[in-house]
Amino acid sequence: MTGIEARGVVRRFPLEGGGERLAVGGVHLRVEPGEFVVLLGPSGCGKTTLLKILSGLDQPDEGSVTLQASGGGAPVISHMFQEPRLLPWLRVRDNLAFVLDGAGRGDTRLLDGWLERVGMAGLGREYPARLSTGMQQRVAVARAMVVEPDVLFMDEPFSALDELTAMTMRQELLGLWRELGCTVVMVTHNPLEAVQLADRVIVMTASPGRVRAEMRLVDSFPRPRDPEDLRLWRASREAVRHLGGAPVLVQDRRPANDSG
Amino acid sequence: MLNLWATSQRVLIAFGIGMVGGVVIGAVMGLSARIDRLLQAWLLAGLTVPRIVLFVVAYLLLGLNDQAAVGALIITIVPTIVVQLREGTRALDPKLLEMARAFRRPRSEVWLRVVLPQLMPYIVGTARASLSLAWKMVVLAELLGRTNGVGYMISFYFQMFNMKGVLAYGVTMMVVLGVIDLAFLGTWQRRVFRWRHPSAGQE
Repeated sequence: MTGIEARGVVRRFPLEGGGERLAVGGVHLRVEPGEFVVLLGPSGCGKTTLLKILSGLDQPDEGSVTLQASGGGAPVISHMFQEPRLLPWLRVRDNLAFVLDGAGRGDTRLLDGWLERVGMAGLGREYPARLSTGMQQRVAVARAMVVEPDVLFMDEPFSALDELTAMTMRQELLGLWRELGCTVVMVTHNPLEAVQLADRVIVMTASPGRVRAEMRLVDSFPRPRDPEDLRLWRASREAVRHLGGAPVLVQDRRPANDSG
Repeated sequence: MLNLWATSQRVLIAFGIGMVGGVVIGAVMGLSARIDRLLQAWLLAGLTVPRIVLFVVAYLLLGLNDQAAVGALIITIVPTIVVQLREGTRALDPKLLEMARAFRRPRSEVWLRVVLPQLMPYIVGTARASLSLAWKMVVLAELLGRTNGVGYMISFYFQMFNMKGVLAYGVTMMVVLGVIDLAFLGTWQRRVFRWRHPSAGQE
Protein backbone atom coordinates (compact mmCIF):
# COMPACT_ATOMS: atom_id res chain seq x y z
CA MET A 1 0.00 0.00 0.00
CA THR A 2 1.35 3.34 -1.03
CA GLY A 3 0.23 6.84 -0.15
CA ILE A 4 1.12 10.06 -1.91
CA GLU A 5 1.87 13.39 -0.37
CA ALA A 6 2.26 16.58 -2.45
CA ARG A 7 3.32 19.80 -0.74
CA GLY A 8 3.04 23.21 -2.36
CA VAL A 9 3.48 21.92 -5.90
CA VAL A 10 4.07 24.73 -8.42
CA ARG A 11 4.70 24.26 -12.14
CA ARG A 12 5.36 27.05 -14.64
CA PHE A 13 5.74 26.81 -18.38
CA PRO A 14 7.64 29.45 -20.35
CA LEU A 15 5.52 31.23 -22.94
CA GLU A 16 6.49 31.88 -26.53
CA GLY A 17 7.96 35.40 -26.60
CA GLY A 18 8.85 35.64 -22.91
CA GLY A 19 6.93 35.41 -19.71
CA GLU A 20 5.52 32.26 -18.23
CA ARG A 21 2.23 30.57 -17.51
CA LEU A 22 1.43 29.23 -14.08
CA ALA A 23 -0.01 25.78 -14.81
CA VAL A 24 -0.18 24.49 -11.26
CA GLY A 25 -0.29 27.14 -8.55
CA GLY A 26 0.60 25.63 -5.21
CA VAL A 27 -1.26 22.37 -4.67
CA HIS A 28 -1.28 20.47 -1.39
CA LEU A 29 -2.64 16.97 -1.69
CA ARG A 30 -2.63 13.79 0.36
CA VAL A 31 -3.71 10.48 -1.09
CA GLU A 32 -4.20 7.71 1.44
CA PRO A 33 -2.94 4.19 0.69
CA GLY A 34 -5.53 2.28 -1.29
CA GLU A 35 -7.63 5.37 -1.93
CA PHE A 36 -9.32 6.15 -5.27
CA VAL A 37 -8.88 9.88 -5.86
CA VAL A 38 -10.23 11.71 -8.89
CA LEU A 39 -8.95 15.09 -10.00
CA LEU A 40 -11.85 16.86 -11.69
CA GLY A 41 -11.50 20.05 -13.66
CA PRO A 42 -12.08 21.78 -16.99
CA SER A 43 -9.65 21.41 -19.88
CA GLY A 44 -6.42 23.26 -19.34
CA CYS A 45 -6.72 23.51 -15.56
CA GLY A 46 -3.38 21.82 -15.05
CA LYS A 47 -4.78 18.53 -13.81
CA THR A 48 -2.78 16.47 -16.30
CA THR A 49 0.33 18.44 -15.38
CA LEU A 50 -0.35 17.74 -11.72
CA LEU A 51 -0.84 14.05 -12.46
CA LYS A 52 2.48 13.90 -14.31
CA ILE A 53 4.20 15.55 -11.37
CA LEU A 54 2.62 13.10 -8.93
CA SER A 55 3.71 10.16 -11.06
CA GLY A 56 7.23 11.47 -11.52
CA LEU A 57 6.95 12.04 -15.29
CA ASP A 58 7.43 15.77 -14.67
CA GLN A 59 9.25 17.74 -12.00
CA PRO A 60 7.67 20.57 -9.97
CA ASP A 61 9.33 24.00 -10.01
CA GLU A 62 8.53 24.36 -6.33
CA GLY A 63 7.26 21.98 -3.70
CA SER A 64 7.71 18.27 -3.38
CA VAL A 65 6.01 14.94 -3.98
CA THR A 66 6.62 11.85 -1.89
CA LEU A 67 5.37 8.35 -2.47
CA GLN A 68 5.27 6.53 0.84
CA ALA A 69 5.39 2.78 0.48
CA SER A 70 4.35 1.07 3.67
CA GLY A 71 6.26 -2.12 2.97
CA GLY A 72 9.52 -0.36 2.11
CA GLY A 73 11.17 -0.51 -1.30
CA ALA A 74 10.17 1.46 -4.37
CA PRO A 75 6.44 1.31 -5.16
CA VAL A 76 5.40 -0.15 -8.51
CA ILE A 77 3.80 2.55 -10.63
CA SER A 78 1.48 2.05 -13.55
CA HIS A 79 -0.26 4.26 -16.07
CA MET A 80 -3.21 4.63 -18.37
CA PHE A 81 -3.43 7.43 -20.89
CA GLN A 82 -6.24 8.99 -22.85
CA GLU A 83 -5.09 7.02 -25.88
CA PRO A 84 -4.17 3.34 -25.64
CA ARG A 85 -0.53 4.06 -26.58
CA LEU A 86 0.21 0.48 -27.55
CA LEU A 87 3.31 -0.24 -29.58
CA PRO A 88 1.80 -1.00 -33.01
CA TRP A 89 4.70 -3.23 -34.10
CA LEU A 90 4.22 -5.61 -31.17
CA ARG A 91 1.44 -8.16 -30.89
CA VAL A 92 -1.07 -7.60 -28.10
CA ARG A 93 0.59 -10.14 -25.82
CA ASP A 94 4.04 -8.64 -26.44
CA ASN A 95 2.65 -5.23 -25.55
CA LEU A 96 1.89 -6.60 -22.09
CA ALA A 97 5.26 -8.31 -21.87
CA PHE A 98 6.96 -5.03 -22.78
CA VAL A 99 6.15 -3.49 -19.37
CA LEU A 100 7.33 -6.53 -17.41
CA ASP A 101 10.83 -7.38 -16.31
CA GLY A 102 12.54 -10.70 -16.83
CA ALA A 103 10.55 -13.63 -15.51
CA GLY A 104 6.99 -12.51 -16.25
CA ARG A 105 7.80 -11.91 -19.91
CA GLY A 106 7.66 -15.46 -21.12
CA ASP A 107 4.77 -16.36 -18.83
CA THR A 108 2.13 -16.76 -21.50
CA ARG A 109 -0.43 -17.97 -18.99
CA LEU A 110 -0.08 -14.80 -16.90
CA LEU A 111 -0.35 -12.54 -19.96
CA ASP A 112 -3.29 -14.40 -21.47
CA GLY A 113 -4.95 -14.50 -18.07
CA TRP A 114 -4.94 -10.73 -17.90
CA LEU A 115 -6.21 -10.45 -21.47
CA GLU A 116 -9.04 -12.76 -20.56
CA ARG A 117 -9.99 -10.63 -17.54
CA VAL A 118 -10.39 -7.53 -19.70
CA GLY A 119 -12.49 -9.46 -22.22
CA MET A 120 -9.74 -9.94 -24.78
CA ALA A 121 -9.36 -13.71 -24.55
CA GLY A 122 -7.71 -15.31 -27.56
CA LEU A 123 -6.57 -12.03 -29.10
CA GLY A 124 -3.00 -12.12 -27.77
CA ARG A 125 -1.48 -12.77 -31.18
CA GLU A 126 -3.22 -9.91 -32.96
CA TYR A 127 -1.52 -6.66 -33.89
CA PRO A 128 -3.12 -3.54 -32.34
CA ALA A 129 -4.04 -2.24 -35.80
CA ARG A 130 -6.65 -4.99 -36.04
CA LEU A 131 -8.45 -3.86 -32.89
CA SER A 132 -10.95 -1.05 -32.33
CA THR A 133 -10.01 1.84 -30.04
CA GLY A 134 -12.18 0.37 -27.30
CA MET A 135 -10.44 -2.99 -27.54
CA GLN A 136 -7.05 -1.31 -27.60
CA GLN A 137 -7.95 0.58 -24.45
CA ARG A 138 -8.90 -2.74 -22.84
CA VAL A 139 -5.42 -3.99 -23.68
CA ALA A 140 -4.10 -0.81 -22.05
CA VAL A 141 -6.06 -1.71 -18.90
CA ALA A 142 -4.49 -5.16 -18.90
CA ARG A 143 -1.07 -3.60 -19.46
CA ALA A 144 -1.60 -1.26 -16.52
CA MET A 145 -2.66 -4.14 -14.25
CA VAL A 146 -0.17 -6.81 -15.30
CA VAL A 147 2.64 -5.10 -13.37
CA GLU A 148 0.49 -5.40 -10.21
CA PRO A 149 0.86 -1.73 -9.37
CA ASP A 150 0.95 -0.11 -5.96
CA VAL A 151 -0.16 3.14 -7.55
CA LEU A 152 -2.11 3.55 -10.78
CA PHE A 153 -2.19 6.92 -12.52
CA MET A 154 -4.90 7.47 -15.13
CA ASP A 155 -5.27 10.46 -17.42
CA GLU A 156 -8.83 10.55 -18.79
CA PRO A 157 -8.67 6.88 -19.73
CA PHE A 158 -12.25 6.64 -20.95
CA SER A 159 -12.85 10.04 -22.51
CA ALA A 160 -11.98 8.89 -26.03
CA LEU A 161 -14.45 5.99 -25.88
CA ASP A 162 -18.14 5.92 -26.63
CA GLU A 163 -20.30 6.19 -23.52
CA LEU A 164 -21.57 2.61 -23.68
CA THR A 165 -18.07 1.15 -23.75
CA ALA A 166 -16.91 3.62 -21.12
CA MET A 167 -19.74 2.59 -18.77
CA THR A 168 -18.78 -1.08 -18.90
CA MET A 169 -15.10 -0.37 -18.56
CA ARG A 170 -15.63 1.83 -15.49
CA GLN A 171 -17.36 -1.07 -13.71
CA GLU A 172 -14.61 -3.48 -14.80
CA LEU A 173 -11.97 -1.06 -13.57
CA LEU A 174 -13.64 -0.85 -10.15
CA GLY A 175 -13.66 -4.64 -9.95
CA LEU A 176 -9.94 -4.88 -10.74
CA TRP A 177 -9.14 -2.03 -8.35
CA ARG A 178 -10.92 -3.78 -5.46
CA GLU A 179 -9.06 -6.95 -6.26
CA LEU A 180 -5.59 -5.41 -6.46
CA GLY A 181 -6.16 -2.85 -3.72
CA CYS A 182 -3.88 -0.30 -5.33
CA THR A 183 -3.93 3.46 -4.84
CA VAL A 184 -5.51 5.24 -7.82
CA VAL A 185 -5.20 8.83 -8.97
CA MET A 186 -7.37 9.58 -11.98
CA VAL A 187 -7.90 12.74 -13.99
CA THR A 188 -11.19 13.48 -15.70
CA HIS A 189 -13.38 16.33 -16.90
CA ASN A 190 -16.54 14.22 -16.56
CA PRO A 191 -18.30 15.02 -13.22
CA LEU A 192 -20.54 11.95 -13.32
CA GLU A 193 -17.61 9.67 -13.95
CA ALA A 194 -15.78 11.33 -11.07
CA VAL A 195 -18.50 10.72 -8.50
CA GLN A 196 -19.18 7.19 -9.74
CA LEU A 197 -15.60 6.08 -9.24
CA ALA A 198 -13.99 8.16 -6.53
CA ASP A 199 -13.55 7.84 -2.81
CA ARG A 200 -12.72 11.50 -2.96
CA VAL A 201 -13.12 14.06 -5.74
CA ILE A 202 -10.69 16.95 -5.89
CA VAL A 203 -12.21 19.82 -7.88
CA MET A 204 -9.63 22.02 -9.61
CA THR A 205 -9.90 25.47 -11.15
CA ALA A 206 -8.12 26.66 -14.24
CA SER A 207 -5.18 29.01 -14.73
CA PRO A 208 -3.51 28.61 -12.41
CA GLY A 209 -4.53 25.09 -11.46
CA ARG A 210 -5.53 25.09 -7.82
CA VAL A 211 -7.66 22.90 -5.60
CA ARG A 212 -11.04 24.58 -5.23
CA ALA A 213 -12.96 21.98 -3.33
CA GLU A 214 -12.83 18.44 -2.03
CA MET A 215 -15.79 16.07 -2.00
CA ARG A 216 -15.54 13.06 0.25
CA LEU A 217 -17.85 10.41 -1.15
CA VAL A 218 -16.62 7.22 0.46
CA ASP A 219 -18.93 7.52 3.51
CA SER A 220 -22.12 8.67 1.82
CA PHE A 221 -21.78 6.29 -1.13
CA PRO A 222 -20.72 2.83 0.02
CA ARG A 223 -19.51 0.41 -2.63
CA PRO A 224 -20.59 -1.21 -4.78
CA ARG A 225 -22.43 1.84 -6.04
CA ASP A 226 -25.41 1.72 -8.31
CA PRO A 227 -24.58 3.80 -11.39
CA GLU A 228 -28.33 4.51 -11.62
CA ASP A 229 -28.39 6.09 -8.15
CA LEU A 230 -29.86 9.57 -8.51
CA ARG A 231 -27.93 10.81 -5.51
CA LEU A 232 -24.79 10.24 -7.54
CA TRP A 233 -26.20 12.50 -10.19
CA ARG A 234 -26.89 15.15 -7.55
CA ALA A 235 -23.35 14.81 -6.26
CA SER A 236 -22.07 15.36 -9.79
CA ARG A 237 -24.17 18.57 -9.99
CA GLU A 238 -22.55 19.69 -6.81
CA ALA A 239 -19.14 19.09 -8.37
CA VAL A 240 -20.21 21.17 -11.35
CA ARG A 241 -21.25 23.98 -9.04
CA HIS A 242 -17.78 23.88 -7.53
CA LEU A 243 -16.38 24.18 -11.03
CA GLY A 244 -18.72 27.02 -11.91
CA GLY A 245 -16.74 29.58 -9.95
CA ALA A 246 -17.81 30.53 -6.46
CA PRO A 247 -17.56 27.78 -3.85
CA VAL A 248 -20.91 26.26 -2.85
CA LEU A 249 -20.89 27.65 0.67
CA VAL A 250 -20.69 31.21 -0.63
CA GLN A 251 -23.52 30.53 -3.08
CA ASP A 252 -25.67 29.21 -0.27
CA ARG A 253 -25.17 32.39 1.69
CA ARG A 254 -26.05 34.67 -1.17
CA PRO A 255 -29.83 34.91 -0.59
CA ALA A 256 -29.14 36.00 2.97
CA ASN A 257 -26.85 38.76 1.71
CA ASP A 258 -29.49 39.90 -0.78
CA SER A 259 -32.19 40.19 1.82
CA GLY A 260 -29.85 41.92 4.26
CA MET B 1 32.53 -12.24 -63.60
CA LEU B 2 35.63 -11.34 -61.59
CA ASN B 3 35.13 -7.72 -62.51
CA LEU B 4 31.55 -7.85 -61.33
CA TRP B 5 32.66 -9.34 -58.00
CA ALA B 6 35.30 -6.62 -57.52
CA THR B 7 32.69 -3.97 -58.14
CA SER B 8 30.13 -5.58 -55.82
CA GLN B 9 32.70 -5.84 -53.05
CA ARG B 10 33.44 -2.12 -53.24
CA VAL B 11 29.76 -1.28 -53.15
CA LEU B 12 28.92 -3.62 -50.27
CA ILE B 13 31.78 -2.41 -48.09
CA ALA B 14 30.94 1.24 -48.75
CA PHE B 15 27.23 0.55 -48.25
CA GLY B 16 27.78 -1.25 -44.95
CA ILE B 17 30.06 1.39 -43.46
CA GLY B 18 27.98 4.22 -44.90
CA MET B 19 24.71 2.88 -43.48
CA VAL B 20 26.05 2.37 -39.97
CA GLY B 21 27.81 5.74 -39.95
CA GLY B 22 24.90 7.58 -41.55
CA VAL B 23 22.29 6.08 -39.23
CA VAL B 24 24.30 6.93 -36.12
CA ILE B 25 25.17 10.46 -37.24
CA GLY B 26 21.61 11.10 -38.41
CA ALA B 27 20.07 9.85 -35.16
CA VAL B 28 22.48 11.94 -33.08
CA MET B 29 21.76 15.04 -35.18
CA GLY B 30 18.05 14.48 -34.77
CA LEU B 31 18.34 14.17 -31.00
CA SER B 32 20.80 16.96 -30.24
CA ALA B 33 20.27 20.48 -31.55
CA ARG B 34 23.87 21.35 -30.72
CA ILE B 35 25.44 18.57 -32.73
CA ASP B 36 22.95 19.34 -35.48
CA ARG B 37 24.21 22.94 -35.71
CA LEU B 38 27.81 21.74 -35.52
CA LEU B 39 27.48 19.34 -38.46
CA GLN B 40 24.99 21.31 -40.55
CA ALA B 41 27.61 22.94 -42.78
CA TRP B 42 29.38 19.61 -43.35
CA LEU B 43 26.11 17.99 -44.24
CA LEU B 44 25.34 20.68 -46.79
CA ALA B 45 28.81 20.38 -48.26
CA GLY B 46 28.42 16.61 -48.47
CA LEU B 47 25.10 16.93 -50.22
CA THR B 48 26.21 19.50 -52.77
CA VAL B 49 29.75 18.53 -53.71
CA PRO B 50 29.87 17.18 -57.27
CA ARG B 51 30.54 13.45 -57.02
CA ILE B 52 33.18 13.51 -59.73
CA VAL B 53 35.19 16.08 -57.73
CA LEU B 54 34.93 13.79 -54.73
CA PHE B 55 36.40 10.84 -56.59
CA VAL B 56 39.18 12.85 -58.22
CA VAL B 57 40.19 14.47 -54.93
CA ALA B 58 40.12 11.09 -53.15
CA TYR B 59 42.42 9.57 -55.81
CA LEU B 60 44.73 12.60 -55.64
CA LEU B 61 44.96 12.42 -51.85
CA LEU B 62 45.09 8.66 -51.28
CA GLY B 63 46.47 7.43 -54.57
CA LEU B 64 44.81 5.25 -57.17
CA ASN B 65 43.70 2.53 -54.79
CA ASP B 66 40.63 0.85 -53.34
CA GLN B 67 40.67 2.84 -50.10
CA ALA B 68 40.23 6.02 -52.10
CA ALA B 69 37.40 4.57 -54.19
CA VAL B 70 35.51 3.10 -51.25
CA GLY B 71 36.13 6.18 -49.08
CA ALA B 72 34.74 8.50 -51.73
CA LEU B 73 31.81 6.16 -52.21
CA ILE B 74 31.02 6.32 -48.48
CA ILE B 75 31.10 10.10 -48.53
CA THR B 76 28.78 9.98 -51.52
CA ILE B 77 26.03 8.08 -49.76
CA VAL B 78 26.35 9.19 -46.12
CA PRO B 79 24.77 12.66 -46.41
CA THR B 80 21.49 11.38 -47.84
CA ILE B 81 21.29 8.70 -45.15
CA VAL B 82 21.96 11.33 -42.49
CA VAL B 83 19.19 13.59 -43.79
CA GLN B 84 16.65 10.75 -43.77
CA LEU B 85 17.55 9.53 -40.30
CA ARG B 86 17.60 13.03 -38.87
CA GLU B 87 14.05 13.57 -40.06
CA GLY B 88 13.05 10.15 -38.73
CA THR B 89 14.46 10.88 -35.30
CA ARG B 90 12.66 14.20 -35.14
CA ALA B 91 9.40 12.48 -36.02
CA LEU B 92 9.57 10.06 -33.06
CA ASP B 93 6.24 9.88 -31.26
CA PRO B 94 6.67 11.61 -27.87
CA LYS B 95 3.58 9.85 -26.54
CA LEU B 96 5.07 6.40 -26.96
CA LEU B 97 8.34 7.57 -25.43
CA GLU B 98 6.40 8.95 -22.47
CA MET B 99 4.58 5.65 -22.11
CA ALA B 100 7.88 3.79 -21.97
CA ARG B 101 9.16 6.27 -19.39
CA ALA B 102 5.97 5.94 -17.35
CA PHE B 103 6.50 2.20 -17.08
CA ARG B 104 10.14 2.77 -16.08
CA ARG B 105 11.57 0.88 -19.04
CA PRO B 106 15.37 0.63 -19.20
CA ARG B 107 17.12 2.63 -21.89
CA SER B 108 18.19 -0.36 -23.99
CA GLU B 109 14.59 -1.54 -24.10
CA VAL B 110 13.37 1.90 -25.18
CA TRP B 111 15.86 1.98 -28.05
CA LEU B 112 15.14 -1.53 -29.20
CA ARG B 113 11.35 -1.63 -28.90
CA VAL B 114 10.24 1.99 -29.17
CA VAL B 115 12.81 4.06 -31.09
CA LEU B 116 14.23 1.59 -33.61
CA PRO B 117 10.86 0.37 -34.96
CA GLN B 118 9.90 3.99 -35.59
CA LEU B 119 13.17 4.62 -37.46
CA MET B 120 12.84 1.44 -39.51
CA PRO B 121 10.83 2.99 -42.38
CA TYR B 122 13.53 5.63 -42.77
CA ILE B 123 16.35 3.11 -42.54
CA VAL B 124 14.85 0.74 -45.10
CA GLY B 125 13.91 3.57 -47.43
CA THR B 126 17.32 5.13 -47.33
CA ALA B 127 19.00 1.72 -47.66
CA ARG B 128 17.29 1.11 -50.99
CA ALA B 129 18.09 4.61 -52.23
CA SER B 130 21.72 4.66 -51.15
CA LEU B 131 22.49 1.17 -52.36
CA SER B 132 21.34 2.10 -55.84
CA LEU B 133 23.26 5.39 -55.62
CA ALA B 134 26.45 3.59 -54.59
CA TRP B 135 25.89 1.02 -57.34
CA LYS B 136 25.78 3.77 -59.96
CA MET B 137 28.65 5.83 -58.58
CA VAL B 138 31.06 2.92 -58.20
CA VAL B 139 31.21 2.54 -61.97
CA LEU B 140 32.32 6.14 -62.25
CA ALA B 141 34.95 5.62 -59.56
CA GLU B 142 36.33 2.58 -61.36
CA LEU B 143 36.30 4.31 -64.69
CA LEU B 144 38.43 7.10 -63.26
CA GLY B 145 41.06 5.22 -61.37
CA ARG B 146 40.84 1.46 -60.97
CA THR B 147 42.26 -1.34 -63.07
CA ASN B 148 39.43 -3.79 -62.60
CA GLY B 149 35.71 -3.77 -62.00
CA VAL B 150 32.76 -3.04 -64.21
CA GLY B 151 33.61 0.66 -64.60
CA TYR B 152 37.09 -0.21 -65.81
CA MET B 153 35.69 -2.69 -68.33
CA ILE B 154 33.24 -0.15 -69.62
CA SER B 155 35.99 2.39 -70.18
CA PHE B 156 38.06 -0.37 -71.80
CA TYR B 157 35.32 -1.26 -74.27
CA PHE B 158 34.62 2.44 -74.81
CA GLN B 159 38.19 2.92 -75.96
CA MET B 160 37.72 0.01 -78.33
CA PHE B 161 34.47 1.62 -79.45
CA ASN B 162 32.77 -1.68 -78.64
CA MET B 163 29.09 -0.99 -78.01
CA LYS B 164 28.29 -4.65 -77.26
CA GLY B 165 30.85 -4.83 -74.47
CA VAL B 166 29.69 -1.57 -72.87
CA LEU B 167 26.05 -2.61 -72.94
CA ALA B 168 26.79 -6.11 -71.71
CA TYR B 169 28.36 -4.77 -68.55
CA GLY B 170 25.83 -1.97 -68.17
CA VAL B 171 22.82 -4.25 -68.42
CA THR B 172 24.40 -6.84 -66.12
CA MET B 173 24.85 -4.16 -63.48
CA MET B 174 21.19 -3.19 -63.76
CA VAL B 175 19.98 -6.76 -63.50
CA VAL B 176 22.18 -7.63 -60.51
CA LEU B 177 21.06 -4.59 -58.54
CA GLY B 178 17.45 -5.23 -59.48
CA VAL B 179 17.67 -8.76 -58.13
CA ILE B 180 19.38 -7.65 -54.91
CA ASP B 181 16.83 -4.91 -54.37
CA LEU B 182 13.77 -7.05 -54.96
CA ALA B 183 15.00 -10.24 -53.35
CA PHE B 184 16.67 -8.86 -50.25
CA LEU B 185 15.63 -5.28 -49.51
CA GLY B 186 12.07 -5.71 -50.70
CA THR B 187 11.54 -8.84 -48.61
CA TRP B 188 13.14 -7.16 -45.65
CA GLN B 189 10.83 -4.20 -46.03
CA ARG B 190 7.75 -6.43 -46.13
CA ARG B 191 8.88 -8.35 -43.08
CA VAL B 192 9.60 -5.20 -41.09
CA PHE B 193 6.22 -3.67 -41.88
CA ARG B 194 4.04 -6.70 -41.42
CA TRP B 195 2.34 -5.05 -38.44
CA ARG B 196 0.99 -2.33 -40.71
CA HIS B 197 -1.08 -4.76 -42.76
CA PRO B 198 -1.64 -7.50 -40.25
CA SER B 199 -4.49 -9.16 -42.12
CA ALA B 200 -2.11 -10.25 -44.86
CA GLY B 201 0.47 -11.76 -42.53
CA GLN B 202 -1.54 -14.03 -40.27
CA GLU B 203 0.39 -16.90 -38.82
